[in-house]
Amino acid sequence: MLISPHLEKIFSNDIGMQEHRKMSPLLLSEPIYTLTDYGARVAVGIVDRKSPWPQNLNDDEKRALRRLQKDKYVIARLVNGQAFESLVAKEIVAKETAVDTDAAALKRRLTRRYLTSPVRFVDLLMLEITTRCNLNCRFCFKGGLPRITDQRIHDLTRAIVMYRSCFATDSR
Amino acid sequence: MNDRFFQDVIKIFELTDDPRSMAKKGRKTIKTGVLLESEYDFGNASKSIAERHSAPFTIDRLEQFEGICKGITHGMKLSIRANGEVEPCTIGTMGKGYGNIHDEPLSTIVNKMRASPVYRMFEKNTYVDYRRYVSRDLFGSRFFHPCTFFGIIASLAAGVEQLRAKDELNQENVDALNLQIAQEMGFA
Repeated sequence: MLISPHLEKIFSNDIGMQEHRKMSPLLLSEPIYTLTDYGARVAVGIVDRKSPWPQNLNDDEKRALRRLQKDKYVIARLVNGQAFESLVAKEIVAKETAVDTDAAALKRRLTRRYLTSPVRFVDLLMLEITTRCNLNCRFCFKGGLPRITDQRIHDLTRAIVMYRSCFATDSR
Repeated sequence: MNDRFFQDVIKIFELTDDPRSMAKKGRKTIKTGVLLESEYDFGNASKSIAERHSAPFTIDRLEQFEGICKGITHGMKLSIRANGEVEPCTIGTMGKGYGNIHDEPLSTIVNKMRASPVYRMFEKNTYVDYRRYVSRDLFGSRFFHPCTFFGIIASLAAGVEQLRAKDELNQENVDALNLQIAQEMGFA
């Protein structure tokens, strides 16, 4: 494993250097691939077998996603980036720079981030097509909203397709 | 609505169930809403400030609201409002601050949820930063339901941050924002 002379100098007095070398080839500020919040939810759905694979993923991309799901991060220079870059374009994976060289700490931090994804537990999509309702229900808390109907059905369909492709479980 | 319409809906959205039967299944939820009717302080069932005089939740004791609900930061549903706004909680955020499906894809909105001021406010319980912007003349200071306060403070936070970004944060604009929120929520 190669470590830049600069880092070698910095860590030369570090007692844990040998162990660090053994554990991780991670270099400071080098590009790594991680899961986005959306990607973390996709991965959870796949692991739990509650959700289907996202649409339009080829076998390479599925392998890349499985690897990320297992390892939490992947060092960009060690992999063939095509599949990962494709996942980046689909917003399932993010390319970021490593903020430390401690692989275990990075893994812990990323695991925590994935577990606290805002959409981790989402399994229901509610659609409000219109607020033009005159039933005047007493329990309705949207009484003062402007009366509108969503006419841009294309955007709504796109959102539903995206939701159904990875969030939807069973018939929901 | 005729059968043709529902057939089209089932076909377009690839539904497995007829939406009409799904609505019947959802009656339980509606019943729950009726049970909560007396507790909400805004919308059609809004109560006047005087009627809320003895309400248990007060704006001056923010510890009452801490950890009360994770529906906004780690909710179990996503809602898309009629104006395209995406929100994890129908009540608490009042549909502001996360993103609009007409401006960007749902996946982008989901990925930047953490960065939104509303999310950070609920995650870190930093309500106190926005409490000073709440107009007590319009909303009062006591509520029967904590979500009333969440709705007000979340809408205010989103609006205040927008004003701050445009460098237009002043008392006049905050007053106008309060009035707008009060009208939307049915207080004014």
